[in-house]
Amino acid sequence: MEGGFQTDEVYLIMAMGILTMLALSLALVLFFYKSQRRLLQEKMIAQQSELQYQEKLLYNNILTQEKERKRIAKDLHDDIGSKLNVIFLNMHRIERAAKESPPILDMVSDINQVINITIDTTRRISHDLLPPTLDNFGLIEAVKELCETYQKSDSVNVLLEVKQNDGRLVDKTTELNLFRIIQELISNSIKHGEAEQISIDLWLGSENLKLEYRDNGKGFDLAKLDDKKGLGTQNMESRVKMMGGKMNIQSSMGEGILVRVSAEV
Amino acid sequence: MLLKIQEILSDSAIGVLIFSIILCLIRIKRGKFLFKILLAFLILNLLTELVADYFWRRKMNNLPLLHLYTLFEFVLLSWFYKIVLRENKWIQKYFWSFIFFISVLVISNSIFLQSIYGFNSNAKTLVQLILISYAVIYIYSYSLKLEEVNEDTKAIRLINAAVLIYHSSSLFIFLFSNMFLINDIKIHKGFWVVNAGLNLIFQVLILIAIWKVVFKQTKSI
Repeated sequence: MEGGFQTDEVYLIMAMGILTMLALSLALVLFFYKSQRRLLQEKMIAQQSELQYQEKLLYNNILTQEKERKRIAKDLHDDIGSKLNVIFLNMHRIERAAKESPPILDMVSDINQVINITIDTTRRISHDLLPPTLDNFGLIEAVKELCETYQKSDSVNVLLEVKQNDGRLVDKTTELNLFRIIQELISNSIKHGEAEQISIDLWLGSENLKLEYRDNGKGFDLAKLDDKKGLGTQNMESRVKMMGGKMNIQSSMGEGILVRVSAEV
Repeated sequence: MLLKIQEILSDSAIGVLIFSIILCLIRIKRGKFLFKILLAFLILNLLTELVADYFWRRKMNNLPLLHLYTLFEFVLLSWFYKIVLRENKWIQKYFWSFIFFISVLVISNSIFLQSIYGFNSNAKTLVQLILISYAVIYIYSYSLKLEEVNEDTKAIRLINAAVLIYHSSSLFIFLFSNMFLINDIKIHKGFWVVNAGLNLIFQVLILIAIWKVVFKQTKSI
Protein backbone atom coordinates (compact mmCIF):
# COMPACT_ATOMS: atom_id res chain seq x y z
CA MET A 1 0.00 0.00 0.00
CA GLU A 2 1.37 3.46 -0.91
CA GLY A 3 2.25 6.00 1.75
CA GLY A 4 3.95 3.57 4.18
CA PHE A 5 1.09 3.45 6.69
CA GLN A 6 -0.99 0.41 7.23
CA THR A 7 -4.73 0.80 7.66
CA ASP A 8 -4.66 -0.38 11.25
CA GLU A 9 -1.83 1.96 12.19
CA VAL A 10 -3.62 5.01 10.79
CA TYR A 11 -6.83 3.93 12.53
CA LEU A 12 -5.02 3.48 15.80
CA ILE A 13 -3.11 6.78 15.65
CA MET A 14 -6.19 8.74 14.73
CA ALA A 15 -8.41 7.08 17.32
CA MET A 16 -5.84 7.57 20.06
CA GLY A 17 -5.22 11.12 18.93
CA ILE A 18 -8.91 12.00 18.95
CA LEU A 19 -9.54 10.42 22.32
CA THR A 20 -6.46 11.98 23.89
CA MET A 21 -7.23 15.44 22.60
CA LEU A 22 -10.89 15.12 23.58
CA ALA A 23 -9.92 14.00 27.09
CA LEU A 24 -7.35 16.79 27.42
CA SER A 25 -9.72 19.48 26.23
CA LEU A 26 -12.52 18.26 28.53
CA ALA A 27 -10.08 18.13 31.45
CA LEU A 28 -8.93 21.67 30.73
CA VAL A 29 -12.48 22.99 30.50
CA LEU A 30 -13.44 21.22 33.74
CA PHE A 31 -10.31 22.53 35.45
CA PHE A 32 -11.23 26.06 34.41
CA TYR A 33 -14.79 25.82 35.69
CA LYS A 34 -13.63 24.27 38.95
CA SER A 35 -10.98 26.92 39.53
CA GLN A 36 -13.47 29.71 38.86
CA ARG A 37 -15.92 28.12 41.27
CA ARG A 38 -13.20 27.74 43.89
CA LEU A 39 -12.14 31.38 43.47
CA LEU A 40 -15.77 32.47 43.72
CA GLN A 41 -16.25 30.42 46.90
CA GLU A 42 -13.11 31.96 48.39
CA LYS A 43 -14.34 35.43 47.47
CA MET A 44 -17.73 34.73 49.05
CA ILE A 45 -16.11 33.42 52.23
CA ALA A 46 -13.92 36.52 52.39
CA GLN A 47 -16.93 38.77 51.82
CA GLN A 48 -18.89 36.87 54.46
CA SER A 49 -16.04 37.27 56.96
CA GLU A 50 -15.82 40.97 56.16
CA LEU A 51 -19.57 41.32 56.62
CA GLN A 52 -19.48 39.45 59.93
CA TYR A 53 -16.60 41.62 61.07
CA GLN A 54 -18.49 44.79 60.12
CA GLU A 55 -21.58 43.52 61.91
CA LYS A 56 -19.57 42.68 64.99
CA LEU A 57 -18.01 46.13 64.88
CA LEU A 58 -21.44 47.69 64.62
CA TYR A 59 -22.81 45.62 67.49
CA ASN A 60 -19.83 46.54 69.62
CA ASN A 61 -20.44 50.19 68.78
CA ILE A 62 -24.04 49.89 69.86
CA LEU A 63 -23.10 48.10 73.09
CA THR A 64 -20.43 50.70 73.81
CA GLN A 65 -22.94 53.43 73.08
CA GLU A 66 -25.41 51.92 75.56
CA LYS A 67 -22.69 51.49 78.16
CA GLU A 68 -21.73 55.14 77.80
CA ARG A 69 -25.34 56.24 77.99
CA LYS A 70 -25.75 54.24 81.18
CA ARG A 71 -22.64 55.74 82.66
CA ILE A 72 -23.59 59.30 81.71
CA ALA A 73 -27.15 58.76 82.98
CA LYS A 74 -25.78 57.46 86.27
CA ASP A 75 -23.26 60.31 86.58
CA LEU A 76 -25.92 62.87 85.77
CA HIS A 77 -28.31 61.43 88.34
CA ASP A 78 -25.84 60.55 91.07
CA ASP A 79 -23.27 63.33 90.74
CA ILE A 80 -24.77 66.36 89.08
CA GLY A 81 -28.33 65.67 90.17
CA SER A 82 -27.39 65.21 93.79
CA LYS A 83 -25.16 68.31 93.82
CA LEU A 84 -27.93 70.39 92.30
CA ASN A 85 -30.16 69.18 95.12
CA VAL A 86 -27.53 70.29 97.61
CA ILE A 87 -27.41 73.72 95.95
CA PHE A 88 -31.22 73.85 96.14
CA LEU A 89 -31.21 73.03 99.83
CA ASN A 90 -28.55 75.67 100.54
CA MET A 91 -30.59 78.22 98.60
CA HIS A 92 -33.46 77.47 101.03
CA ARG A 93 -31.10 78.25 103.95
CA ILE A 94 -30.17 81.54 102.29
CA GLU A 95 -33.86 82.24 101.77
CA ARG A 96 -34.57 81.68 105.45
CA ALA A 97 -31.59 83.81 106.50
CA ALA A 98 -32.50 86.66 104.13
CA LYS A 99 -36.19 86.91 105.14
CA GLU A 100 -35.81 90.63 105.90
CA SER A 101 -34.11 91.51 102.64
CA PRO A 102 -36.53 91.53 99.67
CA PRO A 103 -33.86 92.14 96.99
CA ILE A 104 -31.96 89.05 98.18
CA LEU A 105 -35.21 87.08 98.40
CA ASP A 106 -35.95 88.01 94.80
CA MET A 107 -32.49 86.89 93.70
CA VAL A 108 -32.84 83.64 95.63
CA SER A 109 -36.24 83.04 94.03
CA ASP A 110 -34.78 83.53 90.53
CA ILE A 111 -31.86 81.25 91.32
CA ASN A 112 -34.24 78.59 92.73
CA GLN A 113 -36.22 78.71 89.51
CA VAL A 114 -33.12 78.10 87.43
CA ILE A 115 -32.01 75.32 89.76
CA ASN A 116 -35.43 73.64 89.50
CA ILE A 117 -35.33 73.84 85.73
CA THR A 118 -31.79 72.47 85.75
CA ILE A 119 -32.75 69.60 88.07
CA ASP A 120 -35.72 68.74 85.84
CA THR A 121 -33.61 68.94 82.71
CA THR A 122 -30.88 66.79 84.24
CA ARG A 123 -33.48 64.25 85.30
CA ARG A 124 -35.03 64.25 81.84
CA ILE A 125 -31.69 63.86 80.08
CA SER A 126 -30.70 61.07 82.43
CA HIS A 127 -34.05 59.45 81.92
CA ASP A 128 -33.88 59.72 78.15
CA LEU A 129 -30.40 58.24 78.12
CA LEU A 130 -31.49 55.19 80.06
CA PRO A 131 -34.97 55.02 81.56
CA PRO A 132 -34.75 53.39 84.97
CA THR A 133 -38.24 51.97 84.41
CA LEU A 134 -36.86 49.71 81.70
CA ASP A 135 -34.27 48.28 84.02
CA ASN A 136 -36.56 48.03 87.03
CA PHE A 137 -39.95 47.14 85.59
CA GLY A 138 -39.35 45.88 82.07
CA LEU A 139 -40.16 46.81 78.49
CA ILE A 140 -43.93 47.26 78.69
CA GLU A 141 -43.79 49.67 81.60
CA ALA A 142 -40.96 51.60 79.95
CA VAL A 143 -42.90 51.90 76.68
CA LYS A 144 -46.03 52.95 78.59
CA GLU A 145 -44.04 55.65 80.32
CA LEU A 146 -42.57 56.75 76.97
CA CYS A 147 -46.03 56.97 75.41
CA GLU A 148 -47.33 59.01 78.37
CA THR A 149 -44.46 61.46 77.99
CA TYR A 150 -45.45 62.12 74.39
CA GLN A 151 -49.15 62.23 75.24
CA LYS A 152 -48.46 65.02 77.74
CA SER A 153 -46.81 67.11 75.04
CA ASP A 154 -50.14 67.22 73.09
CA SER A 155 -48.31 67.23 69.79
CA VAL A 156 -48.98 63.57 69.11
CA ASN A 157 -51.33 60.88 70.30
CA VAL A 158 -49.48 57.63 71.04
CA LEU A 159 -51.56 54.51 71.69
CA LEU A 160 -49.99 51.39 73.08
CA GLU A 161 -51.75 48.04 72.97
CA VAL A 162 -50.14 44.96 74.50
CA LYS A 163 -51.67 42.07 72.58
CA GLN A 164 -49.69 39.39 74.32
CA ASN A 165 -47.63 39.44 77.51
CA ASP A 166 -46.10 36.22 78.77
CA GLY A 167 -43.84 37.97 81.26
CA ARG A 168 -40.52 39.79 81.12
CA LEU A 169 -38.11 39.02 78.34
CA VAL A 170 -35.14 37.21 79.78
CA ASP A 171 -32.60 39.08 77.71
CA LYS A 172 -32.28 42.69 78.91
CA THR A 173 -30.30 43.61 75.81
CA THR A 174 -33.26 42.55 73.64
CA GLU A 175 -35.60 44.64 75.80
CA LEU A 176 -33.27 47.62 75.47
CA ASN A 177 -32.92 47.15 71.69
CA LEU A 178 -36.67 46.98 71.20
CA PHE A 179 -37.16 50.01 73.41
CA ARG A 180 -34.60 51.99 71.38
CA ILE A 181 -36.31 50.94 68.15
CA ILE A 182 -39.64 52.25 69.44
CA GLN A 183 -37.95 55.45 70.64
CA GLU A 184 -36.38 55.97 67.22
CA LEU A 185 -39.63 55.25 65.38
CA ILE A 186 -41.58 57.76 67.48
CA SER A 187 -38.85 60.34 67.06
CA ASN A 188 -38.91 59.85 63.25
CA SER A 189 -42.70 59.97 63.11
CA ILE A 190 -42.71 63.33 64.87
CA LYS A 191 -39.63 64.88 63.23
CA HIS A 192 -39.96 63.65 59.64
CA GLY A 193 -43.42 62.18 59.32
CA GLU A 194 -45.23 65.01 61.17
CA ALA A 195 -47.59 62.36 62.47
CA GLU A 196 -50.41 63.16 64.84
CA GLN A 197 -51.44 59.60 65.61
CA ILE A 198 -49.16 56.69 66.43
CA SER A 199 -50.21 53.19 67.38
CA ILE A 200 -47.91 50.58 68.87
CA ASP A 201 -48.94 46.94 69.18
CA LEU A 202 -46.75 44.56 71.14
CA TRP A 203 -46.72 40.80 71.38
CA LEU A 204 -44.31 39.51 74.01
CA GLY A 205 -44.45 35.75 73.98
CA SER A 206 -42.20 33.37 75.84
CA GLU A 207 -40.54 32.29 72.59
CA ASN A 208 -40.97 35.23 70.28
CA LEU A 209 -41.80 38.90 70.19
CA LYS A 210 -43.52 41.10 67.66
CA LEU A 211 -43.91 44.82 67.25
CA GLU A 212 -46.32 46.56 64.89
CA TYR A 213 -45.87 50.30 64.61
CA ARG A 214 -48.14 52.60 62.61
CA ASP A 215 -48.38 56.33 62.16
CA ASN A 216 -50.54 58.66 60.10
CA GLY A 217 -47.68 60.85 58.98
CA LYS A 218 -46.77 61.90 55.45
CA GLY A 219 -44.92 58.68 54.70
CA PHE A 220 -42.06 58.36 52.25
CA ASP A 221 -41.03 56.73 48.98
CA LEU A 222 -39.67 53.29 49.93
CA ALA A 223 -37.62 53.10 46.74
CA LYS A 224 -35.52 56.01 47.96
CA LEU A 225 -34.99 54.46 51.42
CA ASP A 226 -31.84 52.56 50.48
CA ASP A 227 -30.21 55.69 49.05
CA LYS A 228 -31.15 57.98 51.92
CA LYS A 229 -31.03 55.68 54.92
CA GLY A 230 -30.24 57.80 57.96
CA LEU A 231 -28.16 56.77 60.95
CA GLY A 232 -31.32 56.20 62.97
CA THR A 233 -32.72 53.71 60.47
CA GLN A 234 -29.37 51.96 60.17
CA ASN A 235 -29.21 51.81 63.94
CA MET A 236 -32.65 50.21 64.05
CA GLU A 237 -31.68 47.63 61.46
CA SER A 238 -28.54 46.78 63.38
CA ARG A 239 -30.52 46.36 66.60
CA VAL A 240 -33.02 44.09 64.83
CA LYS A 241 -30.13 41.99 63.53
CA MET A 242 -28.63 41.86 67.00
CA MET A 243 -31.90 40.42 68.23
CA GLY A 244 -31.74 37.91 65.40
CA GLY A 245 -35.00 39.29 64.07
CA LYS A 246 -36.53 40.75 60.94
CA MET A 247 -37.84 44.20 60.17
CA ASN A 248 -40.30 45.09 57.46
CA ILE A 249 -41.15 48.69 56.55
CA GLN A 250 -44.13 49.65 54.45
CA SER A 251 -44.85 53.20 53.43
CA SER A 252 -45.87 55.41 50.57
CA MET A 253 -46.29 59.15 50.18
CA GLY A 254 -49.22 60.45 52.19
CA GLU A 255 -49.97 57.02 53.64
CA GLY A 256 -47.97 57.02 56.84
CA ILE A 257 -45.73 54.15 57.83
CA LEU A 258 -46.15 50.58 59.00
CA VAL A 259 -43.19 48.86 60.61
CA ARG A 260 -43.17 45.24 61.69
CA VAL A 261 -40.41 43.80 63.81
CA SER A 262 -40.29 40.17 64.85
CA ALA A 263 -37.72 38.04 66.61
CA GLU A 264 -37.35 34.84 68.53
CA VAL A 265 -36.28 35.13 72.15
CA MET B 1 -25.33 2.98 7.84
CA LEU B 2 -22.41 5.29 8.72
CA LEU B 3 -23.48 7.61 5.94
CA LYS B 4 -26.98 7.75 7.36
CA ILE B 5 -25.64 8.59 10.81
CA GLN B 6 -23.40 11.29 9.33
CA GLU B 7 -26.33 12.79 7.45
CA ILE B 8 -28.46 12.90 10.60
CA LEU B 9 -25.66 14.50 12.61
CA SER B 10 -24.89 17.03 9.86
CA ASP B 11 -28.52 17.97 9.36
CA SER B 12 -28.99 18.35 13.11
CA ALA B 13 -25.92 20.59 13.29
CA ILE B 14 -27.29 22.73 10.45
CA GLY B 15 -30.63 22.97 12.26
CA VAL B 16 -28.95 24.09 15.47
CA LEU B 17 -26.82 26.53 13.50
CA ILE B 18 -29.85 28.08 11.79
CA PHE B 19 -31.57 28.47 15.16
CA SER B 20 -28.48 30.15 16.62
CA ILE B 21 -28.34 32.58 13.70
CA ILE B 22 -32.03 33.45 14.00
CA LEU B 23 -31.67 34.02 17.73
CA CYS B 24 -28.67 36.27 17.12
CA LEU B 25 -30.38 38.27 14.40
CA ILE B 26 -33.62 39.00 16.21
CA ARG B 27 -32.45 39.36 19.80
CA ILE B 28 -28.88 40.48 20.29
CA LYS B 29 -28.65 44.25 20.65
CA ARG B 30 -26.66 46.23 18.16
CA GLY B 31 -24.08 47.32 20.71
CA LYS B 32 -22.58 43.88 21.17
CA PHE B 33 -19.76 43.81 18.63
CA LEU B 34 -18.34 40.56 19.98
CA PHE B 35 -21.54 38.73 19.19
CA LYS B 36 -21.73 40.35 15.78
CA ILE B 37 -18.41 38.69 14.96
CA LEU B 38 -19.82 35.42 16.26
CA LEU B 39 -22.87 35.92 14.06
CA ALA B 40 -20.65 36.50 11.03
CA PHE B 41 -18.80 33.28 11.82
CA LEU B 42 -22.04 31.34 12.18
CA ILE B 43 -23.35 32.67 8.86
CA LEU B 44 -20.07 31.72 7.19
CA ASN B 45 -20.38 28.28 8.75
CA LEU B 46 -23.95 27.86 7.52
CA LEU B 47 -23.22 29.04 3.98
CA THR B 48 -20.23 26.72 3.75
CA GLU B 49 -22.28 23.76 5.04
CA LEU B 50 -25.13 24.42 2.63
CA VAL B 51 -22.96 24.96 -0.44
CA ALA B 52 -20.76 21.98 0.45
CA ASP B 53 -23.85 19.86 0.86
CA TYR B 54 -25.15 21.05 -2.52
CA PHE B 55 -21.89 20.10 -4.23
CA TRP B 56 -21.74 16.75 -2.42
CA ARG B 57 -25.26 15.79 -3.47
CA ARG B 58 -24.30 16.54 -7.09
CA LYS B 59 -21.17 14.39 -6.61
CA MET B 60 -18.97 17.46 -7.17
CA ASN B 61 -15.73 18.11 -5.29
CA ASN B 62 -16.53 20.52 -2.48
CA LEU B 63 -13.05 20.69 -0.97
CA PRO B 64 -12.23 24.18 -2.40
CA LEU B 65 -14.83 25.45 0.05
CA LEU B 66 -12.80 24.06 2.92
CA HIS B 67 -9.81 26.13 1.81
CA LEU B 68 -11.90 29.30 1.81
CA TYR B 69 -13.67 28.40 5.01
CA THR B 70 -10.39 27.75 6.84
CA LEU B 71 -9.14 31.24 6.00
CA PHE B 72 -12.29 33.08 7.06
CA GLU B 73 -12.79 30.88 10.11
CA PHE B 74 -9.28 31.81 11.23
CA VAL B 75 -9.80 35.56 10.69
CA LEU B 76 -13.21 35.72 12.40
CA LEU B 77 -12.37 33.55 15.39
CA SER B 78 -9.05 35.37 15.85
CA TRP B 79 -10.93 38.66 15.91
CA PHE B 80 -13.33 37.17 18.45
CA TYR B 81 -10.43 36.21 20.68
CA LYS B 82 -8.74 39.58 20.22
CA ILE B 83 -11.73 41.15 21.96
CA VAL B 84 -12.07 38.41 24.58
CA LEU B 85 -8.36 38.45 25.44
CA ARG B 86 -8.23 42.22 25.72
CA GLU B 87 -5.83 42.02 28.66
CA ASN B 88 -3.21 40.05 26.74
CA LYS B 89 -0.83 42.72 25.51
CA TRP B 90 0.95 40.48 22.98
CA ILE B 91 -2.23 39.58 21.18
CA GLN B 92 -3.35 43.20 21.18
CA LYS B 93 0.00 44.47 19.92
CA TYR B 94 0.75 41.98 17.18
CA PHE B 95 -2.76 40.95 16.20
CA TRP B 96 -3.07 42.35 12.70
CA SER B 97 0.47 41.40 11.73
CA PHE B 98 -0.18 37.88 12.93
CA ILE B 99 -3.48 37.67 11.03
CA PHE B 100 -1.81 38.89 7.87
CA PHE B 101 1.11 36.47 8.20
CA ILE B 102 -1.02 33.40 8.83
CA SER B 103 -3.50 34.36 6.11
CA VAL B 104 -0.60 34.56 3.65
CA LEU B 105 0.52 31.09 4.77
CA VAL B 106 -2.98 29.65 4.40
CA ILE B 107 -3.42 31.14 0.92
CA SER B 108 0.08 30.11 -0.14
CA ASN B 109 -0.64 26.56 0.98
CA SER B 110 -3.72 26.47 -1.23
CA ILE B 111 -1.88 27.93 -4.22
CA PHE B 112 1.50 26.24 -4.03
CA LEU B 113 1.50 23.27 -1.67
CA GLN B 114 -1.83 21.52 -1.57
CA SER B 115 -4.39 21.36 -4.33
CA ILE B 116 -7.67 23.15 -3.70
CA TYR B 117 -9.38 19.93 -4.77
CA GLY B 118 -7.79 18.10 -1.87
CA PHE B 119 -7.79 18.68 1.88
CA ASN B 120 -5.75 21.64 3.10
CA SER B 121 -4.47 19.56 5.99
CA ASN B 122 -1.41 21.80 6.51
CA ALA B 123 -3.40 25.01 6.75
CA LYS B 124 -6.31 23.45 8.60
CA THR B 125 -4.01 21.90 11.22
CA LEU B 126 -2.15 25.19 11.66
CA VAL B 127 -5.39 27.11 12.09
CA GLN B 128 -6.73 24.53 14.51
CA LEU B 129 -3.55 24.68 16.59
CA ILE B 130 -3.84 28.49 16.70
CA LEU B 131 -7.49 28.32 17.77
CA ILE B 132 -6.64 25.73 20.42
CA SER B 133 -3.90 28.07 21.64
CA TYR B 134 -6.36 30.96 21.92
CA ALA B 135 -8.70 28.77 23.97
CA VAL B 136 -5.89 27.61 26.25
CA ILE B 137 -4.63 31.19 26.71
CA TYR B 138 -8.16 32.21 27.74
CA ILE B 139 -8.32 29.40 30.29
CA TYR B 140 -4.85 30.23 31.58
CA SER B 141 -5.62 33.96 31.81
CA TYR B 142 -8.74 33.48 33.87
CA SER B 143 -8.13 30.33 35.87
CA LEU B 144 -5.97 32.16 38.41
CA LYS B 145 -8.18 35.21 38.84
CA LEU B 146 -11.90 35.59 39.27
CA GLU B 147 -13.71 36.79 36.21
CA GLU B 148 -16.74 39.00 36.67
CA VAL B 149 -19.60 36.58 36.31
CA ASN B 150 -22.50 37.68 34.16
CA GLU B 151 -24.38 36.12 31.26
CA ASP B 152 -21.88 37.50 28.73
CA THR B 153 -18.87 35.93 30.42
CA LYS B 154 -20.74 32.65 30.86
CA ALA B 155 -21.50 32.71 27.13
CA ILE B 156 -17.86 33.44 26.25
CA ARG B 157 -16.72 30.55 28.45
CA LEU B 158 -19.09 28.20 26.64
CA ILE B 159 -17.92 29.40 23.23
CA ASN B 160 -14.33 28.95 24.33
CA ALA B 161 -15.09 25.43 25.54
CA ALA B 162 -16.79 24.69 22.21
CA VAL B 163 -13.78 25.90 20.21
CA LEU B 164 -11.34 23.96 22.38
CA ILE B 165 -13.28 20.69 22.40
CA TYR B 166 -14.11 20.69 18.69
CA HIS B 167 -10.75 21.75 17.30
CA SER B 168 -8.73 19.55 19.69
CA SER B 169 -10.79 16.48 18.98
CA SER B 170 -10.95 16.95 15.21
CA LEU B 171 -7.28 17.90 14.91
CA PHE B 172 -6.15 14.38 14.04
CA ILE B 173 -9.00 13.90 11.58
CA PHE B 174 -7.94 16.86 9.48
CA LEU B 175 -4.26 16.15 10.00
CA PHE B 176 -4.63 12.78 8.29
CA SER B 177 -7.43 13.83 5.93
CA ASN B 178 -5.35 13.75 2.76
CA MET B 179 -4.15 10.26 3.57
CA PHE B 180 -7.72 9.04 3.17
CA LEU B 181 -7.71 10.25 -0.41
CA ILE B 182 -4.28 8.86 -1.19
CA ASN B 183 -4.72 5.46 0.45
CA ASP B 184 -8.44 5.06 -0.16
CA ILE B 185 -8.98 3.87 3.38
CA LYS B 186 -12.63 3.01 3.86
CA ILE B 187 -12.57 3.51 7.61
CA HIS B 188 -12.33 7.26 7.11
CA LYS B 189 -16.12 7.31 6.98
CA GLY B 190 -16.18 6.47 10.68
CA PHE B 191 -13.95 9.44 11.43
CA TRP B 192 -16.13 11.79 9.43
CA VAL B 193 -19.07 10.57 11.49
CA VAL B 194 -17.02 11.42 14.59
CA ASN B 195 -16.31 14.86 13.08
CA ALA B 196 -20.01 15.37 12.40
CA GLY B 197 -20.77 14.44 16.01
CA LEU B 198 -18.12 16.82 17.32
CA ASN B 199 -19.49 19.55 15.06
CA LEU B 200 -22.96 18.99 16.50
CA ILE B 201 -21.59 19.35 20.04
CA PHE B 202 -19.82 22.53 18.92
CA GLN B 203 -23.02 24.00 17.51
CA VAL B 204 -25.07 23.05 20.57
CA LEU B 205 -22.59 24.73 22.94
CA ILE B 206 -22.66 27.88 20.78
CA LEU B 207 -26.45 27.84 20.83
CA ILE B 208 -26.52 27.56 24.65
CA ALA B 209 -24.07 30.49 24.84
CA ILE B 210 -26.26 32.65 22.61
CA TRP B 211 -29.36 31.60 24.54
CA LYS B 212 -27.80 32.82 27.80
CA VAL B 213 -27.02 36.23 26.30
CA VAL B 214 -30.36 36.65 24.57
CA PHE B 215 -32.50 35.69 27.53
CA LYS B 216 -30.45 37.77 29.94
CA GLN B 217 -31.37 40.73 27.74
CA THR B 218 -35.02 39.74 27.80
CA LYS B 219 -35.03 39.61 31.61
CA SER B 220 -33.53 43.07 31.89
CA ILE B 221 -36.17 44.76 29.67
